[in-house]
Amino acid sequence: MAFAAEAFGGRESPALDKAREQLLAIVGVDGLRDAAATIAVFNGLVRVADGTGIQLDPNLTTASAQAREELGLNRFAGSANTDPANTDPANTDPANTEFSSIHELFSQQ
Amino acid sequence: MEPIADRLLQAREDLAAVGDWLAAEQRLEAWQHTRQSRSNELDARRRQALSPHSISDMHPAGQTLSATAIDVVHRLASDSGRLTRSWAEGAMTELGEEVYTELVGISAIASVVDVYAVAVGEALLQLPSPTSSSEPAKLRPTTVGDVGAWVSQSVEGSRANVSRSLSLVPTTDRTWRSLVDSLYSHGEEFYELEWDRALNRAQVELVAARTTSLLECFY
Repeated sequence: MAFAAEAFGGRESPALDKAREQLLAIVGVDGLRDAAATIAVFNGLVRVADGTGIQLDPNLTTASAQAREELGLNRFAGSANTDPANTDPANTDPANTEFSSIHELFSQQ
Repeated sequence: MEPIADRLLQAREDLAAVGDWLAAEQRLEAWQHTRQSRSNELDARRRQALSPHSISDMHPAGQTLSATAIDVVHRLASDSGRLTRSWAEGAMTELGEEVYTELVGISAIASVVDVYAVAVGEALLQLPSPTSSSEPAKLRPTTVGDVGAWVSQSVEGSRANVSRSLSLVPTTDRTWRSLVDSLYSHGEEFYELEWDRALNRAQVELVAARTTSLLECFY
């Protein structure tokens, strides 16, 4: 997570160098490249999603409602692009989702 | 699966070629400004302002791109989480919806290539020379329409909104989707909860969630 926090902006820094070395020691070169690829591609995905103003897909609007509320994601400016009423009725039953809350998701470990 | 380095080099070559609505020189100038935004003083001021709209200064026109196009690239690269529909519609009124969308795609592709290099501690790829002097065909796909986003997108099939977001500009979309596939989704493996990579799927998704949260992306 420290590596992501230092690398997401695409700027070289001593803190990034340190985080890279720490991650390398734990996950090796291939793990470092996986992490870097993920950070890089989601940098791009963010530009595309924000720049084109896409809405959350209806099933995702339904399935993520509680998590968005709990994590404070609705305060992000991009939330204005999604109508919270544009949901998928097939996904409104909690039984249709594997986890009913973000707390439950992380308590599985 | 194609090695990441090969895919990044291919993306570099793709940006040096003619696009759907922009010439090769224009695409490369957009990449150059995406890269410059990391240290641009105006971008830093705008990012730190309570509202980006409180800063009225504009970037000057480039050699091949208008001031509006340059501004679009800088805002995408430096503060995309605070873009608004009214701002985008203003830019599209001047540039056209297709040029605006191609600039979004170029900025995204350039960000991926550059952020990866910085993250792994490698030198940034040198910007190539244009490989084409052709004029863009400027053909609008017949299969796009209004699906609720700021720009027109494919109305065919049942693709997720994010996967059809650049369908208005197919040439750039192909490069973009290939990058996403090589660096993240890996074709059919995307539908598996277990991934056979150095990082497991949960670790990859946590890195992804942390990155998009830091960039304040709602989607």
